[in-house]
Amino acid sequence: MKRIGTVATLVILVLIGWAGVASAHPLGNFTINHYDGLAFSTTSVVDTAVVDTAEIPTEQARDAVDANGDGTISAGERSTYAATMCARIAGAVRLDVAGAPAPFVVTSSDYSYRPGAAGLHTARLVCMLRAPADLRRGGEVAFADNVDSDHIGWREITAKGTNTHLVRSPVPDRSVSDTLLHYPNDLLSSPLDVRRADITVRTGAGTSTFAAGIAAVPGAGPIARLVEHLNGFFTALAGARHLTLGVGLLAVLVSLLLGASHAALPGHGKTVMAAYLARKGTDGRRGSTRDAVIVGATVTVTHTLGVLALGLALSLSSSLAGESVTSDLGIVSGSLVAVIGVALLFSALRHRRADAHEHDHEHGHDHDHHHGHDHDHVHTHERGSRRAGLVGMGVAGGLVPSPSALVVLLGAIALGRTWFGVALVLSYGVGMAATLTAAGILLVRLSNRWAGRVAHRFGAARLAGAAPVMTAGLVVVVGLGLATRSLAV
Amino acid sequence: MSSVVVVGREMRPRLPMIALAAVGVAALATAIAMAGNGTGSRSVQSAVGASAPAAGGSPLAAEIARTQQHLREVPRDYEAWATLGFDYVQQAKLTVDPTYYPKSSAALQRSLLLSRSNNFVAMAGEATLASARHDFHAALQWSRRGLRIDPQSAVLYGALTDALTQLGHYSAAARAAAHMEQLSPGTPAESRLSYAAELSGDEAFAIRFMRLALSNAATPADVAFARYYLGQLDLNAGHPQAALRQFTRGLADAPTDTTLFEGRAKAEAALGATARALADYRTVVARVPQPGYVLEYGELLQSVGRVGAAEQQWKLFRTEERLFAANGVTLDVDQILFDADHGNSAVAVQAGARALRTRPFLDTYDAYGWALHRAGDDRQALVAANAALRTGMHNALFFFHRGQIERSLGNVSAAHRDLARAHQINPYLQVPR
Repeated sequence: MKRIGTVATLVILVLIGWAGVASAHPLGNFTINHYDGLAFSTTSVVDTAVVDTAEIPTEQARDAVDANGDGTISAGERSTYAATMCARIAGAVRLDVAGAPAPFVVTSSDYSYRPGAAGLHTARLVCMLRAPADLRRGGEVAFADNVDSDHIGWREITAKGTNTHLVRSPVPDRSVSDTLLHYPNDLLSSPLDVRRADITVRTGAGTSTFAAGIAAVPGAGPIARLVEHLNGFFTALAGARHLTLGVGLLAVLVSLLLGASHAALPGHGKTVMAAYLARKGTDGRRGSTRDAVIVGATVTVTHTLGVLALGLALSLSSSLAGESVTSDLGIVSGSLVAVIGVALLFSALRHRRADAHEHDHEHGHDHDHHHGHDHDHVHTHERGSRRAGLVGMGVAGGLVPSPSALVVLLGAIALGRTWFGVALVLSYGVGMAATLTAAGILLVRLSNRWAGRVAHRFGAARLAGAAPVMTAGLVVVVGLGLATRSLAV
Repeated sequence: MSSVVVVGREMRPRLPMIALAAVGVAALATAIAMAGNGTGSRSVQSAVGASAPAAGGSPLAAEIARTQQHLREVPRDYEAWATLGFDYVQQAKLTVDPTYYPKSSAALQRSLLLSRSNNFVAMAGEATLASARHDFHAALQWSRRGLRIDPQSAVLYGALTDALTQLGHYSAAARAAAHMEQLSPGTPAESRLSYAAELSGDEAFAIRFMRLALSNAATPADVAFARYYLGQLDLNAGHPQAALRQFTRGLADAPTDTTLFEGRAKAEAALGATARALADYRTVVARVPQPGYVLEYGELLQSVGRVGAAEQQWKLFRTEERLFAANGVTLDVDQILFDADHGNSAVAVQAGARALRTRPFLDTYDAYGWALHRAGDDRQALVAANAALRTGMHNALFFFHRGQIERSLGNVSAAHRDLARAHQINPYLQVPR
């Protein structure tokens, strides 16, 4: 009981302390903070402009608010001041739609006080501004807010579409400060300083995309958060000052686990699917366990080599930006899958013409040596191209280095522990391979069962001819999808 | 007070490579988060940190963004935490944004928690932070502790110099600054040498060292700093025209530097260009309503008879006084002189006595003496005024104050001598009526 009481007291103390801190302006008593929340419809741009002034500038503005100078501020004086200030902001922010200025008009304004530190107040001005704009066919929009530009403070812009969507918006759609109501109190963040945004607006209810470094929708699931913690632990281990055998082994184990969880992420699942489809698409045959292992091994080798190469290049050259390289690799990877798909498509179409011949070969590897020389040659050739397809898929899957493996390697190089870093990257790759192989085997088992049942129910023979073409087409689509994702990012 | 932007290059030999990796990785991590695996909380941080490295657009802001990103990846790197804490103090000074102080303190504490024994980088940070918060005793202790670990650190010698100066150990401070210049010649050491020379009454050397500091200035912020103090030296020596040139040239390099605006306003006021001075002060006070600036603006408004407008500034100053007191900060010299001149001499005397315990500096003795004089205790006032002038510094305001005290005491010839001296040093000296 006594302990519970102590804990309760502590909690209360913390809450009181919290309230005490929260009452002072979190960004310092001198700041004037600006937020613009842009919303694009087909006919107009709406800006929710918020100005949050800390205690001192609020005090400086008091005489301007108190129009009749009687020492008290009435509701009327507040709304007059709000209207004046919002009109000033509407005139000072710049909006260009397709190169032509689009002036804002004030649709509503509000100025209110909140309790601040030392019995003083902070103030919040909220202006709704609207600019008519013809965005029925979309267009390029440029926005800039330079009001109080030389005053210290937080400056934030967000943008979203209402019946439009944005392409690679340089600003996020959600305010990290909750429209200047709750500033992130994070040791590792500096005040935002975003004063302008050039935005491409498209019509229709598509999904908005954001430029790199911008969070679209924050909020991680528990598993993603766990992986993130593991990641932090991993990188900390590699950078540990005193490396003991225990710590080293632990780091290897963690990197295995991380590799395994990294491979479970969506992109890699697609690779396995594509590999499986490729295997099936060549000859209508179902994938084997061995194929799954081939894919896994190739991914490991490619990923490890890729991380090592990029790590080496990055630590040697200061002009090479990791971001652009990995984006390029993503495009290469996707294109590779697509090219393999196209090759499959051609071979499937060719085989479809030689349908009967193809079916003769369907009895598996065991009987290879019974075939005559000619047949054997053809078959080996077929298997060779299949194997090449699988390896190609594995290369595509491992080509884009994972960020945590890269940072561990670079960290280890920087700390003079290159070999330890290489070992960790290798075990990371082994972990990835384990997951991919397991997924592949699972897929093989499941689909064997599934294929049997479906074949029973439908006229499998008729489908069998068209299936390779369809799956090859699917591989092309998956490859193009992977490539465009890298382009968009 | 001499506070220079010190970018401690020697402090972080390992960072660039890791930071580079971290930038690439951050972009990657965000890219992958967007592709759908949702490492959300990190993405929010990078929206705050990485995508806005331009907070001020300075090299310092960029470095802070890199260190933040690195620490997200390697959260146990105590050297990086120390560097971040140190850079936050510099950023607070540069942007006049006090939010960086608690952040700096937390970052340095985390660094010391991770490594207590040999963490001299964090100790340099603690010393700089303590100086910035006017806790010079703590600054002295931290810099001495750090120097026991690394006696070759120029940054620690800088912190030591500042603490010794403000605590009244002027010759020890000058020696520390000279040692700093040997270890790492450059703007930070030279500006401190200049200040030491100025305090001992050697303006020629003060100007020479500050010119050297200017020629070695690496960033626009360093240039602005050196120009400001060159202008300040000219102003104090009664050359407002030369001072105006320094401030104007400084503004050409650093057009948004508020200290240079304030300097220009002072020079313009001395030259009688009151309208321009008032306009500059208006800009200064709108940008950074620091108590000192608010007071100067109010005094200029009062001197041209705009009493109502001056009253507004006094009111603002009183508000700031209240706010700073609530945050545990006293405005020492500004507040003491203001209270002494505005009918609050008893309060001013108390504040002066308190300020002398934490900061026994020349300015504090002068302000305390003036407060005692206003409170009618001219005997004690003279003791304090003598202490303010004991290093031989040529400060017109100090001589003016001592002259007034001597006149009150009936020592006419001494009063006449000191007031003439004040006029000789700076004929343009403005004192509140």
